[in-house]
Amino acid sequence: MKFSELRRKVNGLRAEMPGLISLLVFDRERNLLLYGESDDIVSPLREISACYAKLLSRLESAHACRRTTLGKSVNCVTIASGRMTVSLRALSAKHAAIGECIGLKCLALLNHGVSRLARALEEAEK
Amino acid sequence: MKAETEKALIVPAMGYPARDAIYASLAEMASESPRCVMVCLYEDESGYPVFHITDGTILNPAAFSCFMSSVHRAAEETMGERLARPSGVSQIRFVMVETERFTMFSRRIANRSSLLLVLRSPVECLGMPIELLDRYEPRLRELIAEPGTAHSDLTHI
Repeated sequence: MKFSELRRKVNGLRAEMPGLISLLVFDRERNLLLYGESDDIVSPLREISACYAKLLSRLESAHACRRTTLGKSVNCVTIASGRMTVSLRALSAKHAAIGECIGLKCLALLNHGVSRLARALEEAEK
Repeated sequence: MKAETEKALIVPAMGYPARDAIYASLAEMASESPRCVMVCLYEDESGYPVFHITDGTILNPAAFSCFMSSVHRAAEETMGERLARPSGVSQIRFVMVETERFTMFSRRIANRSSLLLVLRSPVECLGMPIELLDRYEPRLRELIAEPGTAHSDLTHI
């Protein structure tokens, strides 16, 4: 994977989308943060990533026994809290992307940002 | 965990005096959403679907509500951790999960109950189901929390 390309894409996306707080990509198999950018000066990137990796793992355990009914895989999870909206997208069996934004108004923007990040990751892997 | 869920599923639903009005509201909600396959009220702890309406294609409503109950709990804990607040204080407005077949929206309402809307994927406009949850939440909250006050708008389906 071309990390320089991925880094450039993440930076570019965040610059284009001012509502976004964080954009991160992590390795689901190893619970490993691959690359990320965040405006959050309190929480380190790895803590943010670990927190969502744990969520993804819990979600997949809950989904596993209901796979045939609900659909074979979970594509995306969005959580809207009073403070921030989070979009967690499974890019592949190996990778996941996370985007965070303030408020609910930029839900479409957030999903768009994470989808573009997914494409950027695919391109970086080629 | 599985045994607990199965046990929960055979516990009869609590008595809700506004049962018909709740069903009427859910039916109305479903009719406003063309891609809706199921709408239900479930118990947070067990995921038991106390009230549900489906388009006939959902054979096991509990599979959806039990799953979303787990997801909602996990989401609350995660946001509590992310924002460094105790679990449950994060005021989650909704949780949405998208699979290649369905998109599910869940929101806590009242008396340890949640409202779940299941749509067929893909959903073109994410804002629409959220607006639907926003609009129906107060009425359902009232019907569940204070059932005696809501019989005036009871409609049979």
